[in-house]
Amino acid sequence: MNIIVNLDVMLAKRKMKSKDLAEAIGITTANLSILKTGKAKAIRFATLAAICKALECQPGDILEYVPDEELA
Amino acid sequence: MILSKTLLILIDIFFTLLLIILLVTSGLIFYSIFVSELPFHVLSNDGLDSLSSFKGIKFLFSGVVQLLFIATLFFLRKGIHGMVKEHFFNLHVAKNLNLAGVILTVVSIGTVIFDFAHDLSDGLLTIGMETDLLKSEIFMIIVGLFLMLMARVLKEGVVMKSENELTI
Repeated sequence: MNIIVNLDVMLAKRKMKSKDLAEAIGITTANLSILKTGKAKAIRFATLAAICKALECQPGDILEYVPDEELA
Repeated sequence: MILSKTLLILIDIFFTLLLIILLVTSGLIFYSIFVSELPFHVLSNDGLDSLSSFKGIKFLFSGVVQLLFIATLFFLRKGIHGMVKEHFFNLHVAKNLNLAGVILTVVSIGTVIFDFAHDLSDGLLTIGMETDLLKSEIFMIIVGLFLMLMARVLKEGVVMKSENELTI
């Protein structure tokens, strides 16, 4: 997958715990873990919006595109 | 769920009956060849007839068809068992349904070709189809292809289910 989820970085920047973010956006910690580890296949706009609201950031701060050459 | 359980019970009964019939028939054939030392006979339309070469092949072919039909029922049973035990969208179920479909289709096509060759060897050329459609090979081919299609639908369902579960 060429999309990297930088949720860990944003959580560290905002000094917020995963559990608190999960509670704030209304998803389980297990699902947040799937998102953080990059196992997720897709993310709903509603979830993305809730994360951006909770972390006071933009979608680009959480998601990053990495070209194939850099992945290999 | 009730539908799958009913289907499973029906297939179980059919499968057991077929196995018993096959075992009894094989036992009788074994007895007539090796124990009673009687010349091997096959019951044909004309009554008890000595075994000609083509009739022998036909006899063996029907034995193989019976075995493959039992294999089809076995895989179908395994597939439906998986549906009842776990859930519909499961690769194990799809694999078993696909196997059952492939065997049923191949056996039915083989039977059509074999019957045609048999008729030709007898100097007959029959064109048409069975009046009892449920007993005809074409119906069996349709069922086999439908099972294969079902397996593909289930396989796609597995992918969609996994994607749905991994959408946060």
